[in-house]
Amino acid sequence: MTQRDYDVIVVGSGFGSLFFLKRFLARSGNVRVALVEWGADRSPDEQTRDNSNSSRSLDQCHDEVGGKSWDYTVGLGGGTNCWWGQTPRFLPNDFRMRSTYGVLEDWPVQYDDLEPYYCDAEAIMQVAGAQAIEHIMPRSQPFPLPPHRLSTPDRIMAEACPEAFFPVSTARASQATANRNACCARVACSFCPVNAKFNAYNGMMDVIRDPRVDLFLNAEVRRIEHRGSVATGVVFRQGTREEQLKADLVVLGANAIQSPAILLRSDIQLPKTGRGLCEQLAYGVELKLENVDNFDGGTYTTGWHFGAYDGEHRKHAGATLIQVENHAKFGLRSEYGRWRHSLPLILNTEDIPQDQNRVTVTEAGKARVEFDDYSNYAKAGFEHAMSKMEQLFSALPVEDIVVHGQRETEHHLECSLRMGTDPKASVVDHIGLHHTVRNLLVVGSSVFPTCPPANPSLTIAAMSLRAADQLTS
Amino acid sequence: MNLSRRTLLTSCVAVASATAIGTGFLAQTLMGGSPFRTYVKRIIERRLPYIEIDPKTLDQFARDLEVAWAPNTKQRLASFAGGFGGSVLKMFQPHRVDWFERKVLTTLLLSSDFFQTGAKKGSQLTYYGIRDDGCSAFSYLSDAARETIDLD
Repeated sequence: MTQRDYDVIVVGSGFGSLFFLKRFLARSGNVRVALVEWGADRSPDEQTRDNSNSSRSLDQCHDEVGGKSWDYTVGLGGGTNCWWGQTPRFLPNDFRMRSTYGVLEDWPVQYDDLEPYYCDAEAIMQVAGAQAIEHIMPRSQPFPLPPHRLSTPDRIMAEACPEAFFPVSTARASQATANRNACCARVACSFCPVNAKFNAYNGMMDVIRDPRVDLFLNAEVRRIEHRGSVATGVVFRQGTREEQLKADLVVLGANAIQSPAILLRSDIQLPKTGRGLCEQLAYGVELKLENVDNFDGGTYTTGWHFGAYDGEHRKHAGATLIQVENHAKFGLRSEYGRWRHSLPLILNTEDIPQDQNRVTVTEAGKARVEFDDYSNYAKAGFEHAMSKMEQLFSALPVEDIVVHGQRETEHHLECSLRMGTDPKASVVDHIGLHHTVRNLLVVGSSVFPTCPPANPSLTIAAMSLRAADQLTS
Repeated sequence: MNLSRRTLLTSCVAVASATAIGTGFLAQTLMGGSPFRTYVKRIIERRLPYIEIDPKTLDQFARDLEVAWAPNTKQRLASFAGGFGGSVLKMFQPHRVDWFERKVLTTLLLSSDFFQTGAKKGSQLTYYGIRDDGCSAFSYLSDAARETIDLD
């Protein structure tokens, strides 16, 4: 086994790792960094050609028990490749559920702590959005790009519900930038055909190609080496060969399945390691409209309805973010002249991290996901949103509401290495440092203490920028 | 094991349906046909009665769709169930079948000159070949788009 020395080893190259590294490198001088990625370097063109974002079959990466599928990308750039570019912030109350509603947990980080980092992350991703959303998500900076054009139903809703309905904020460019084109509304965002969506290849190559960074590809981290409460490095497998890297700081940013698996293989365990894995409960719903044409907006999803998100119902039922689709997700209608009288929605409801939904490892050390079920809190949240649907969309001529079914996955993995103050109830502290191995930083959505309904990527990025600031200040 | 009357009846119906579908599928396949293409053509005839499409063109569309959607097992299963008039899927998941059928007719309408020529009843449809671009055509040709995009 060969051995090399670094100042920092970063495991994984998705949102959590790259945003950490971007800020860390900007604030550091002559440091040596190893970036260790399990997957390959495959450009967006190669991913499109192969019709796969991931360079590895996920069957090879983890086992699933319980009938629910989980999805992620193994490859340079991680989730920046497969994501669809949705960048909502979390709401202030998402961070203080215990103190506001008496359920779940408060985050050790609050919205105001994160707000400047949200702005920084939006600037890096060149997010498009409408300032009006500051009504529910206070903002100190304008959006880098203007919002996408709303569809006709969106316009009606935004006018009728100015406090709850807003244009989406998204990292799909609404106009051309220096390195990206404007979104084509083609609805193929995993393989964006016009380079409009932010990804590692159009937005983070300065980090990946930084001369201070050595990139290791096709390198599966098997374990983190440690002596007592000090991490000393990692061991990775590349083909049949094993290599050891040494460093003063290890940053673990694989994902919420692989990061806990690495900790478990390394025998760095706390009672909650791997427990609580969850994602939003999601349904496809269609509003059939009487006489309003849809699908004339500027990108694949154009509006968000927050009417079933925050409020007293969260004491007993999860928040739901309603995503309004600007494409015929359920097909055009067949009746003559009524082809576009359809408003497809995706309802994302927050879930509770439950201990029985967890990541373990097999005897061979492969990650294994055991999933029992979504919580009753999530199910009640969906029912709550459905019970309000007519009221929420009363500005539109809705003739029928059709539930098309539950979605298999939202491709979000969260909460398996939660942040908190008590090592018995959480795994990392308010920065992301492991409670017992203090030079081991965990980044990514695995550290989220709760699972709000909004898409996680922007919050992952903001948390990583903040962690880098805190470690280098 | 206690077997309720309802469970027994449901099981019998399921086995009978599966057998019928399997036999029908086998028979049609042995005769050189394709349940998928047959089903696609029936969908178009039944759900878009106001369009005119040459039978050879419709057959070409069905063949193209079969190739384009070949990897999708769920769509294949839906076609088997739908192709024999019926129907296990329709009984248990009518919205899933409706979704599938709407995806078929959407693909034809967006892969043709239907909207470009004014969506007139009874006009002969020109099919261009499978086009799968979401609804971006509406995004760029709508009144809302004209307000913000200089198409000239």
